[in-house]
Amino acid sequence: MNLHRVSQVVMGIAALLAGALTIGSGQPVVPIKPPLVTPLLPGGIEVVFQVSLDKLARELPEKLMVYRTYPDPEGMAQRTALEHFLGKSAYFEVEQASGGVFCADLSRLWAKAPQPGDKVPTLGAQTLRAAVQEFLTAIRGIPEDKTTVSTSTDRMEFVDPRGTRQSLPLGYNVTYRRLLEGYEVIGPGGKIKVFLDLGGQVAGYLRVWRKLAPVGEKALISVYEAAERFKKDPLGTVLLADVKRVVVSELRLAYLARGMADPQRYLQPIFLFTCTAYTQKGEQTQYVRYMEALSQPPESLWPEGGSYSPEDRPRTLPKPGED
Amino acid sequence: MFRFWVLTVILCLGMSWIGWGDAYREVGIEWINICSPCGNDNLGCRDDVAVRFYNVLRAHGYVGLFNFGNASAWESDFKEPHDQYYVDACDIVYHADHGNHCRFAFGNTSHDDCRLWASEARWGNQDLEWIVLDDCSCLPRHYGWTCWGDAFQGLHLICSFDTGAHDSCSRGERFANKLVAGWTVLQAWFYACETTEGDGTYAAVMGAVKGSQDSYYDHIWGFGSVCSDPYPMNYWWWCNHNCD
Repeated sequence: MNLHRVSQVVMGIAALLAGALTIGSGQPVVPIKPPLVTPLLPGGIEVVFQVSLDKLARELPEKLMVYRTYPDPEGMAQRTALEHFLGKSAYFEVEQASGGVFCADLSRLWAKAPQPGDKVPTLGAQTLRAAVQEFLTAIRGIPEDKTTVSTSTDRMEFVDPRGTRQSLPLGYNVTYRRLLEGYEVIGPGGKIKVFLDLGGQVAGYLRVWRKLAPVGEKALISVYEAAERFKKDPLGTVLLADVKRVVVSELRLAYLARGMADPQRYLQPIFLFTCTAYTQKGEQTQYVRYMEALSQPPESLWPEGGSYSPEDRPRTLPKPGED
Repeated sequence: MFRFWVLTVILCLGMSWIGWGDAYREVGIEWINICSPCGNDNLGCRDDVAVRFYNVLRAHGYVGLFNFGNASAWESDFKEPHDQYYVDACDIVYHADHGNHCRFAFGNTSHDDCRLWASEARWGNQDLEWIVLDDCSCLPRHYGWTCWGDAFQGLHLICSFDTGAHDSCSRGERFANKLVAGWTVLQAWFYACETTEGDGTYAAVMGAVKGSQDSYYDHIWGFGSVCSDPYPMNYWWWCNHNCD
């Protein structure tokens, strides 16, 4: 925006004309063709398991309970208490698909950045958990189920053109994960999460905690079969490019909960692969791979999308040299 | 008639001056479901994630400059000199495919090639303020993200991931809905990632600061305050958020 103001105005008018002529009247682009189904072989990715499949095969069950899910009524019931705690102006939303709620004081959640040179003390896990315990007690939000609790720190890094570096905390998270049959519920849902600002004050709250009813125990695929499937497709739906080698550091059973906006009929067990991907150049990236664990899954792990067509090229916008 | 034209010119210049810039707000998207020509697995939701983002912004006054998918999505649209007609002619752009440290992928091998590397990007010298790279690990922690420093030629923010991420259908739409609700770009991105990802995924945002102009607090045009272009910048910043 800082250069060529006048030419930008002209470009803007051209863009509007281009938009009106080529794109239509702002109608949404809608799905027009069936989904693409073109499974691919991975391009020769080497897979290394750092876990003992034999040991897992001995330890893991052959069957596991599947649950029917229903929207959670508790989140909505906490609205008044949340507004009392976070203020009347706090943002509040509830998603019908899951009954999940998100509530935040947007003047504090991810809203203030420390500056280079600031002295920001790092808060300890005990301090954070105490603050969250007090908050959840106040909103009657302490989960009755068995859970795991973890804390994490969001970070901020600075670099100036001379290369001076600094790293500071940006905020904190405390996450409760449900335990079913001793296995953690993971994914975008299945969590109660409290976001804390740099001072350790609660700034936001997320609860995606669907009601569950057991359906019955269902047969699982063996850990060997899971490993074979993984070797054929080590990335699944992970968006990583140029991977040459994958090291699996952990393999475990878990339940996968979809996000708050996604409908989900069944909570089903999955295999969770915790991995590090390496490129030819040695770059490494952490990722997790979810895989269906049931021999006959009652529904897909993720909701399927539509399918859309791109606009055709060439565009009416000028090409370099043509203008 | 003369008076009409004088008033029109004054109005356009005035709109430009107060921050409407090129008088219209533009959005562009490029997405790739058919990734195999460039050596990656095909995906099912890259179109959904980008097009639903595009639809929300267009429904809120943004002009859709381009919606290029699969073989029509070209790496050359993201770099000089072509980017002035595509990516750098927009205010906000969303790219959805695969990625890795300091690069992201395409599905077309001939325009110009399969990867846009950070060293090739020069954004914002015409228009672009915000770019979303819905691709894995483009902004790796421990200062790996600094590879994008030279891309900031007026650019305000890059929204992407520090780690691996998954092929969500809805992330773009959730992001856009919060942008037009008046959330900052950073808040909207962290929220969208928080509600579509789980353990192991860290969202990340990189920005630049010039004097008191800090893109950390940017909203998109029309839905809150926007800093002036942070170029030349005093420093870059990066932050992440754990989506577990």
